Parts: sequence; C-alpha cells; structure tokens
Amino acid sequence: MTTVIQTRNVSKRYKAVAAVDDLSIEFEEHRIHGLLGRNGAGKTTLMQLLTGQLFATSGQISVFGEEPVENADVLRRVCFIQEGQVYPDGFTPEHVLTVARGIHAGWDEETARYLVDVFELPTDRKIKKLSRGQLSAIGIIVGIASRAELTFFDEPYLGLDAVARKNFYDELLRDFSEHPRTIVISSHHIDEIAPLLETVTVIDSGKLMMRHEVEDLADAASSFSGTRAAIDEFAEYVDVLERTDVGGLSTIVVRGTVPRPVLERASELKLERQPASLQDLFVALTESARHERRARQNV
Amino acid sequence: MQRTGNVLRVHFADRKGTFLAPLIVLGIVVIVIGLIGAVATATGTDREALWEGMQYNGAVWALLGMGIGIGFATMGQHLSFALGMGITRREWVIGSGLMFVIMAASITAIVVIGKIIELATSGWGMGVRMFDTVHTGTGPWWQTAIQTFLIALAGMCFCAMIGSVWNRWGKTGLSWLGGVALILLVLVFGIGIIAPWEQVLRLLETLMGFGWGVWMSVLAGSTVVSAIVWAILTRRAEVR
Amino acid sequence: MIDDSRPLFMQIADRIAEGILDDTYPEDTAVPSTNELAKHLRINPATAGKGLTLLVEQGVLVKRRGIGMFVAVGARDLLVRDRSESFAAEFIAPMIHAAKQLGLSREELITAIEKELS
Repeated sequence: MTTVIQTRNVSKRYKAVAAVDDLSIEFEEHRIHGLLGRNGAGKTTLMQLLTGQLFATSGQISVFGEEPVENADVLRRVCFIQEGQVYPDGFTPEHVLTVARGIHAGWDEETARYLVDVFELPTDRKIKKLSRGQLSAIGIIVGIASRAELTFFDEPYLGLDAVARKNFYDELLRDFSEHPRTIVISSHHIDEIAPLLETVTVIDSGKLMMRHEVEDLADAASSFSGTRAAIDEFAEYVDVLERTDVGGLSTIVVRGTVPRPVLERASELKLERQPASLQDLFVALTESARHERRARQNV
Repeated sequence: MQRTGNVLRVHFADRKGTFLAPLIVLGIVVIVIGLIGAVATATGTDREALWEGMQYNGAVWALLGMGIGIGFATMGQHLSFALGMGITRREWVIGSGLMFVIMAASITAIVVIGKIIELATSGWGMGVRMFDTVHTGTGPWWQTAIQTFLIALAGMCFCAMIGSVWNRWGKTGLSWLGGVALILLVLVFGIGIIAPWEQVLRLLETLMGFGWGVWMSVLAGSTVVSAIVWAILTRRAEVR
Repeated sequence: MIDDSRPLFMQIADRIAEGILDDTYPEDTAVPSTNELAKHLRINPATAGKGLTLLVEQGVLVKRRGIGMFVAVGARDLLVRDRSESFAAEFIAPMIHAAKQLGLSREELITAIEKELS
C-alpha cells in the first residue's frame, strides 16, 4: 500500500510547550484514517503541519513524497477542512464555494449543490451570522465536493445535530466509495465515527499513543473484572492501562493480547473478560499517559 | 498563472465588499460636496474663491484610504483563509501584489477621470473640486495619475508590511514598530528644538524646494521597501 | 447492530450469513455490494469488503467478475452444517452451565426444553 503521509520525529514547539512532540506516523493511500485525541492533544497542529500552514520546529514531513511547506504541487492535491477556519469578513458560503471551485481541480459542482440541499445551508447569508452547525456544513461540503486526493477533516461535525451527522457519514461514505481517496478525520467523539475508519491513530500531548488497524482493535485491549483480590493478583501479569474499583469489585483495562496461560489464570480467578471498545481504550490510554506525566512532575 | 488566479479569486470573491463599499463611500462624499456647491451657489459665494479654497479638500482620501483596509485585510483574515485553502505564501504575495496594482490602477482611473471632468466643467458647474487637489496634484493629468497610483500602492504595501509584522511577532512586533516610529519622531522634534531656528527653517525650505519628481521617487522607494519587507516576512508566516 | 464486541467485519459476514439462512438471499442470487453495505450500515467500505471476502473464503459466496457477489450453490447447507457444529458449544454448554448454577436437575432441564419446543 502506498504511503501518502509520513512524518519522522516531527515536533512543533511554542516556547516551553510542545504542541506536537517527536511524532512519527504514517497514513496510507485510499483509506479513511482516524486521528483521535482529546482537545488540545495536537490534532489540529499536526494537520496544520501536514498542510504547510505551520513550520515544524524539527523533524521531517513527507506528503506525496515531498515536503508540503510552500509546495504548490503537493498542496493542490490536498484539501484541509479546518476546525475554526477563519473566513474573511463579509464572506458568505457562496464566496467560499467560488474560491474552492477554482482551487480544487477535481471539484464537482453537482455534488456541492446536492450537499448544500442536504445540509440546508443558506448560501447567501453572511458567515458571521451562521450557526456552528452551518459553519461545519460549509467545511463538509467543500471537503467532499473538492474530491482532493488527500482530504483532512478536523472535528468536522461540531455543532451538527444527530440527523446532520448521519448525513455527513452517509455522504462521505457514498462519495468515498465512488471516488476512493485518502481521508484523515480527527475527532474526540470516538465510538460514533469508529465504524467509518480503517485505521486509528491516537495522540496525546503531541505524542503518539497508538496506531492500529480497526479490525485488530479487539486485540489491542481488553477489560477484566472480578473481586478486588483477584484483580490485584491478575494485575501482576499484564500491562494495566486503567483500573477502577467500586466496592469489592475491580475492573482493569489491559493493553495488548493476553497470552493463553495468563488467560487460563484469569478464568481460575473467575474474572469476566470483555474486549474494550475504542472509547474505553482511548480513555485508558490518555488517562494513563496523564498519570505518568503527573508522576514525573512530582519526582 | 492558474494559482495566481486563485489568489485573486480569494480577494475578489466578495465583490460587494471589495468594490461596492468604497464606491458607496465615494458616492456619499460626492453628495456632500455637491451640497456644499449648491449651498455656495445659493448664497452667492464667490466661485473663484471657492475653487481656490477647495484645492485643499481631502475628500479624495476616502478613495486613497481604501489601500489601508486592503493592505491589512490581505495579511489578516484573508491570509489564514488562503493558507487554509492550500495557497502557498509565495503565491499569496505574488497574487496579492498583483491585486494591489489592479486596485491602485482602478483608484487612479477614478481620480484622473474625475479630475478631467472637474476641469472641463469648471468644478461640476458649481466651482467645487475634489479630484484636482493638492493631495493628488494640481498639475497635468499624468502627474496626478502617477501621484495617485503611488499613494494608493504605498498605503497597501505599507499596511501589508505592518500586517506581516503582526503575523510574525503579534502585539510585541507591533509595539516594537510603534517604538521605533516614536523614537524617530522624538529625534526629529528634538532636532527641531535643539537646533537653531534658522537652520531648521533652511532645512524645511530645502525640503519644500525638492521637485515633484524627487518626492515621487521617495514615495516609490518606500513602496518598494515596504513590499520587499512584506514579501520576506510573509515567507515564514503561519496561521494565527 | 454495531454493538457486538467482535470485529466489525465478522459481524457483517454473520449478518449476510443469517440472510442466507432465512432466505433473504436465496442461492445463486446477488448479495449487496461492498459499497451498498458500507452506505447502508455507515461503515468503512474496506470493512464491508472484508466481511464479504470472509464468506468467499468459506465458500458461502462466489465472486462473479464485473457483476458482484452471489450466494454459492449449496451455501445454505454449508452454513447449516457449520452452525450445527458450533451450536452445542455456543448455546447448549452455556445453558447447562446456567442450569447447574440454578441447581436444576437433568429432568427439570429437559422438561423446560420440551415445554419451549411445544
């Protein structure tokens, strides 16, 4: 599979803070990738680096095999739908569509008009007067109708209600299956978009937490629950990401596949085993990273 | 070329905002000046004196001042939007520079045509003037053309440069710029106070004595310097 | 439907298999395409494709170049055989386990089953 995006030890520092911290990731061609992380995890910064809007402090970035910064040959193949995109004063959605139509070679006007109908977007109203959901709809329409070879959606459905979100998933999948391309969606609403994704990349505090094929996620983590004493013993054998204790009962989220002998011990200890959902895994990963950071700060 | 077209599309997508708003301002100014002329005619004011006095009328700045707005907007929201749409900084500077020239030329066309009509109709038949003034020159039409073009272009480039300082260093950058301007001002006035009056007067006389060509060269020079600084700073501009 | 904890593509395969068992998709007829499944279920087309491929590997579906996926002749029997084999492990064993926990005797369990059957 061709790799479209590759970063090597990329960092973006603002004075003391590293928004992206020594990140090495890859995204392959013609797949829908999920970029997950809490607010402020560095998702937007990473996307801005990948689209040449920011200059990396260190490390290498390659998009379509080249540096994206100031590279018109790369950027013309990319569409970036940014959360909180700034639009010039006085612009209406129609103005944005006009500009996007000129910029994207693959632009499909029929799709754009169809999507304007689907999302009931008032195209002649000043953007300043639009709701958060309508603002998101502009981005979704441009992102889908541009048919760019590489499309980034940064938190694409903020402010959209349940019906509009379903519309977004439907239209994205419809257009993607007819016109395969590489799509990266960032989100912190995880379980809802999980079925759309082929791969999942989780970042936290600008660092890579994990990268998995969605179909392997069942192997990425599982949760075990049982009596506190049983869990105390079992926790010795496995890589514990998160633990919750309620009364005499405990639940732990365990990273990775659990070897058969350990599983046998689990059944001897009468532990209940369940695959962790993507959301569980995500929370567990980011929480444990936070504890580690805190522990380091306290030393 | 196609990519430069994209930049122009960003600037001109909102035609109402770009063209209509300044023309409305111009229209209001024209109405006010027409009213002045009408009142003057009704009250029997000396037409010669009116014509003479109105050569200082600054109404043309309603047009020239557009450059300020255009320059700032280019580095403010428009740059963020353009970078978000995948336009490179280099393309942005080239395309916006072209837009500056187009806008300055349009303003010049309005002023020169206005001036020609003004002169042909002896002040719109009322002895009032707003295009044939000291601001854009009371000499031949081609001098007015060059002067108007340079003032408008200088305004755009200078404000775009300030915008790029803001983009790179934020408020701190603007404070530094303001600080430098303040020091220069203090120096100039300081010399004025300390130096003997005669010398200051002589200096002023020499300055005033410079011909039109010298002043235009100074204006053109500052425009070029602003444009170069703007282009260099924008090369490393980031979205804010 | 997407709440099961198994990988999504296995759930997709199961869903199609169930459709074959209950005659929604009779033998030698077409099943939904990858893209139709993806759109209908709001899932990634690659995942839907993997679900269909799994059934092709099991011999339940056949690929007809340029037309799509069809239910193989004999697919229903294959599925019935397959499921009968796992039936005991998947359903009967847990039932007996639950019955033991409740302290039901062998006779009581059989009576309960017969009651449900009638």
